[in-house]
Amino acid sequence: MTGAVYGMAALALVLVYKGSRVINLAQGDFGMFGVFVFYAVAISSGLGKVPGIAAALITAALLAALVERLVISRLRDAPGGVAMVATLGVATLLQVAATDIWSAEARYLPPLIEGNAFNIGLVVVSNSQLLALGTGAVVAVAVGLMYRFTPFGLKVRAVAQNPYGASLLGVDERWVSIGLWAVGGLIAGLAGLVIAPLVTFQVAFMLLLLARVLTAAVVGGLTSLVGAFLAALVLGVVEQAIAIKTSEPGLLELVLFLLVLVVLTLRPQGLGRTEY
Amino acid sequence: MSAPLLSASGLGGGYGADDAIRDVSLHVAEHEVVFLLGPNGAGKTTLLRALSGTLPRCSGTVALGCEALESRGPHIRARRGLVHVAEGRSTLIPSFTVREHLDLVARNATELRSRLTERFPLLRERQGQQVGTMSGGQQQLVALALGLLAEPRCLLIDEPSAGLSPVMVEEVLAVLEGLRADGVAMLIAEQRVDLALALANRAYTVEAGRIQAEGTVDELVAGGELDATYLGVAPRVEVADA
Amino acid sequence: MRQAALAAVVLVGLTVFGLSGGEFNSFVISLGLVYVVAALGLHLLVSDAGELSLAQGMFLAIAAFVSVHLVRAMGGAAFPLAVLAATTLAALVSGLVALPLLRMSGPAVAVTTYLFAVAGDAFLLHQEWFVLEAGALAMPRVELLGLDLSSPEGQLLTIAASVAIAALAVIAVRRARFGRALLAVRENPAVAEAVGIDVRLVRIGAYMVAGAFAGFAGALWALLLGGASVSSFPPALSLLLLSVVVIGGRGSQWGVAIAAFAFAVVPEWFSGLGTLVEYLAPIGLIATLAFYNGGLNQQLRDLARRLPLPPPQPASAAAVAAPAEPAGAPAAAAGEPAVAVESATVTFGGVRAVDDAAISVRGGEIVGLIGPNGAGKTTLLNLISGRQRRGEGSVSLFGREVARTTAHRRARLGLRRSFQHGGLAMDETPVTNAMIALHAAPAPRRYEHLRARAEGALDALEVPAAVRATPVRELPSGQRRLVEIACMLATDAPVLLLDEPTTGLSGEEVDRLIGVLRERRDRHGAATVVVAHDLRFLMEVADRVVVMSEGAVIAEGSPQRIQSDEQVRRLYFGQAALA
Repeated sequence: MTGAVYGMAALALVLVYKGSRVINLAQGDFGMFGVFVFYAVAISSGLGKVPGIAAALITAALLAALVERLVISRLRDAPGGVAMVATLGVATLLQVAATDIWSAEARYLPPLIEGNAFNIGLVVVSNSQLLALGTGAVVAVAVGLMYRFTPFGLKVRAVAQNPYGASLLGVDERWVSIGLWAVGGLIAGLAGLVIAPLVTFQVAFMLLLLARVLTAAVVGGLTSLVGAFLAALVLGVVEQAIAIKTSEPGLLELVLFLLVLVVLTLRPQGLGRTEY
Repeated sequence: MSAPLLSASGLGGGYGADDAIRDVSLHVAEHEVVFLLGPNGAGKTTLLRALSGTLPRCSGTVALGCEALESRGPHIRARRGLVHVAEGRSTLIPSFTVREHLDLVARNATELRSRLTERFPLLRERQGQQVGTMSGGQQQLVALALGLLAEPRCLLIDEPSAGLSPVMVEEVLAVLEGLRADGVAMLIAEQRVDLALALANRAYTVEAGRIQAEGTVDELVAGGELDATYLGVAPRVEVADA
Repeated sequence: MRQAALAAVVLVGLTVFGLSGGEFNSFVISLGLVYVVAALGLHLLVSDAGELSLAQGMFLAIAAFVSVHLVRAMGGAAFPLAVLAATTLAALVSGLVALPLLRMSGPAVAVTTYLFAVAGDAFLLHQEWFVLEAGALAMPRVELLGLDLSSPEGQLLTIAASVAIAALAVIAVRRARFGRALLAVRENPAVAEAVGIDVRLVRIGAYMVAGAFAGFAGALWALLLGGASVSSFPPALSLLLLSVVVIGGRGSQWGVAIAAFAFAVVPEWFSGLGTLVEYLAPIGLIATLAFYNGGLNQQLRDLARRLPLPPPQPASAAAVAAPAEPAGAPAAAAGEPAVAVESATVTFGGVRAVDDAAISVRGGEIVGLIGPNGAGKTTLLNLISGRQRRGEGSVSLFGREVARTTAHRRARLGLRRSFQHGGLAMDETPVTNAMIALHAAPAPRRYEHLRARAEGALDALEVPAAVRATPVRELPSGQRRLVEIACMLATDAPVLLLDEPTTGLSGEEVDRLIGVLRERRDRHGAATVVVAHDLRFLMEVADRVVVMSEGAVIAEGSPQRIQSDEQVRRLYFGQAALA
C-alpha cells in the first residue's frame, strides 16, 4: 500500500529533477504544509473535506512554485548541489513555520473515507489504505499521460534532454521549471493527504518518507520515471516483509543505504532508462 | 543599401570567465545574405549565440529593426524574428520524432506546416522517425525547417555544412538558395569559402574572437585576408599558388 | 600570523567570559566551540575539496559513544586516548563511506551520505550493545593530572584548547601539499591529474579529514554533556552542520567559525524569543545561497576593506632565497623521440574521433597540430596526457609504453599540459595555482621553498606582482592565460602539451609566449606540442606542423610547406579550392 505513495512521491521528485536538475529535499514538506491546511480548513474550521482537499493541494502547489521562482531559479547556474542545499533550507523553514503555526504535537487525522473496504481472512484492508493505493495508481497514470502526450510534457522532455536546444526551439525553461515544481507540490500534497491518516501525523511526518523516496529515485536513476516508480513499489513490499519478519529497529533504513551503495557502485547511472 | 535589419555593436563575452569574442560590430540588411568566415575556434558560433541571446555572459547591443534586444531572452528574440539555427545535433532533441519537434515549435500553425513540408519533403517522409537516428545532414535540414517555422525576419545559421557528405551539402545549399530567393535575410557562420562564394552578398572574416575584415567574398579572397585568417599567412604577401 | 593572533585573542576572551559568567554561560560557550570544531572539518570538505556530506552528525554520534565506552572501560585518565581513538575511528569510517562515493555524481553523493546518516540513526543508534538500553550512556568523571575536566571550568578549558588545535590543524592542512591538492581537485579534477595529483586518494583524504574533525568534536561533546544520548544526534544535526558551512562561505575559517558558534549559542541565550530564533537558520541559509552567495566570509572581507587597516603584506619571494634550480626530469637527448603515438584509434559512440593516427615529437622540437573542428586534435592531446585512456594503439613517453598509465602518473614522468578552457583553480591566486602545479616537483617541498619557486615561475612570464594575491577569476583573460602557462612551466617538465594557448592574449603577450617556448626548447630540450587555431602564432612558433582531419593525420611538414599544401588549402577553404 505504502509503496504506491512512495511511488507517487518519487515520481514528483524525478519530474522536478528532470526539469530543473535539483533534488528537492523540501518536497515532502510542501505536502506536510498542505495537510496542515487541510486540517485547519476541514477539521478545525469544519468547512468539510472537499474544500479542505482543494485548499491543501492549492497551497502545496503554490508554495512549490513560489520557492522555484524566489530561490531555485536564482541558482540555475550554481554548481551542483548548491540548489539542493537550498531546498534543505526550505524544508527546515517549512517545518519551523508549521511548528510555529500549528505546534509540533502529533495529531490524529480522520480517514478521508471511513470504514473498511473488505477483509481477506485476518487481513483487514481499510478504505484509507485502498485510497492510498488508488491515488498512487491514478497519479502514476496521470503523470505518464502528461509526460507523454501533453504540450507541457513535450516541453519537459525537450528541456530534460537538451536545454540549449529547447531554448533555441522557443521553450521557456523558466516556466517549465515553475510548472514542474507546482506539479511536484501538488503530488506531494496528495501523497500527504492519503498517507497522513495511516501514520502519526505531525510536523516531521513527511521526513520519514524522504529516505524511502530518495532511495527509489536514485536507484531508478534519478531521471527515470518508470524506474523510480517501480523501485518505490519494490521498497513498499520490502518494508512490509521486514515488518512481518522482524522487529529489529532500523533494518529497513540499513537496507535502503546498502541498496543504494550496491546499485550505484555497480551502475552509477542507476537502473532505469533515462527518458521515461 | 537599405537600412540594416540586424545590427550589433560592441559585442563581447563568452562561456566561462574568458572572453571568446571581443568588441564585435556587424550588420545585416533586409534580404541580405552575410557570411562569417573563419577557422574553427575563431568565435563564429559564440558570436551567433551572443546575437540570439544564448551566450551565458554577453555585453554590447543587438537590435532588430529599431528594437533593442540585448536585454531580451532568447525566446523573445526568436518571437521578434531573430531565429538561431544551431548546428543540427545541438538544437534537436535526440529522442523526439520530427512530428514532436514540429509540435514543440508550432503546434497550431497547420498552414505554415503544410507549406514547409512542401519545401522539405523529408519532414513528411520521416515524420515518425526519431531525429537521433537520422544522418547529420538530415538533422541539419530538420533544424533549418524548424527555424523557418518560427517565421524569421533574420536567420542566424551555424555551420550548415559541418560534417555533411558532399551530396547533403548540395541539398542544404539548394535550400539556402531557395531561402535567399524568397528574400530571407541570413547571417551564416561557415568555414567553407565555396559556400560563401555561391551564396553571400557580403562576408566578415572572424579571427580570435574579433572581426578582421569585411567585404564581398571575392574582395576578401583577392586581398589575401582569407589566407591570413585560415592559414596564418601574413596578409598582402603573394603566396605561390594563390 | 595576525589572523592567528586575533583568533587566539578571541578564544581567550571567550574562555575568560565563560569562566566568569557562571555555569550556564560556560556551558553555552563550550557548546558553541564544539560546533566550531565539527564545522571546521566539514568546511575543509565543502569549501576546499568541493565535496558534500549530509552525514557529518553521524560521525559525531559514533565518536561520542565510542569515547564514552572507552572511558568507561579504561577510566577517566584514558580520556586523551579515547579522544584519539574516536577521532581515528571516525576518520576511518568516513574514508570507508567515501570509497563508493568516488564514482557517483554530486546528487547521488548527497543522497547516499544522507541515507548513511538515516541508517546510522535508525539502526546503529538503536543497537543495545552500542547505546545501552536507555539509549544514553553516562561518561564517568574525567580527571587528568589532578585537573577535573568534567567540571564546567575543566570542560571549557579542554574544549577551548581543542578549538585551538583544530584551527591549527586547518592551517596546517592548507599549507600542506594535500591542502592545495584539495583545491585543485575541487576546481577541476582533470587539471589536478595533469599536475600529478592522485584525485581518488585526495578525495578520500578529504572525507577522512572531515571525519576526523567530526570525531574529535564528538568526543568533546561527550565530555561536555557528561555522556552520549541518542536524541542528541538526529539526522537534522548533519543538515544543520552543512547549513553552517554554507552560510559561513568559502575560504577563511572565520565565517564558518562565527556561523557555527552563533547557531549553537543564539538559541540558548535568546530562548526567550521562542520560535523566532528557529527561523534564523533556514532563512539565513536560503538568503545566503540565493541572494548572497559569498556567505559570511564575503561579509567579513567587505568589512575588512572598509576598515582602515594596512593590507596584509604578501610574503615576499625575496625573503626566501630562491633555491638552485633542481635538476629536472631527465630530458631526452635531442633527436630521440620524447613522445610517440602509433596507430592510435579512439571511438566515441561509433564516431572515430582519432583514426589510426601517429605523431612523434623529439626533445628540442615544437610541433604544431592543426585541423578543423572535430578533427581529433584535443582527443589526441588527451591520449598523450592520459586524460583519454580508452583507445587502441600505443603511446610512449621517452620510450616507455604508457597507454594504460593514469594521467597523474604521466604527469609525474615529466608531462605537463594546458587546457583549452579552465586550466586553473579560478578562486585561488596565481601563487597558489603555481604551487598546485608544483605538486609533483622533486623535494624539497617545504611551503616556503615551493612558494619561492612559484614566484619565480610567475616572474618568468612577467605576471605583475600586484595581481599575484588576487583570485585568478578577477584577472583579465590574457593574464589568466599567462598564469596558466607559468604554472605549466613552473616545473622543468620535459614534455609540454598546449591546447589553444593564445586565446585572449594580446600581440605582445603572444610574442612573450613564443619567446618562453623557444627558450624551453633551446635551453631545456623540451618536446612541445601546440594545438592552436591562431595559425599566425602557430606557423611562427612551430618547427613542424601536423595536420589532422576526421581523426587522421593527413599532412606533415614545415610551416611553409603546409601553408602551400593543396590538400590543406582544400580542407580549410572547402571543395572549390581557391584558384
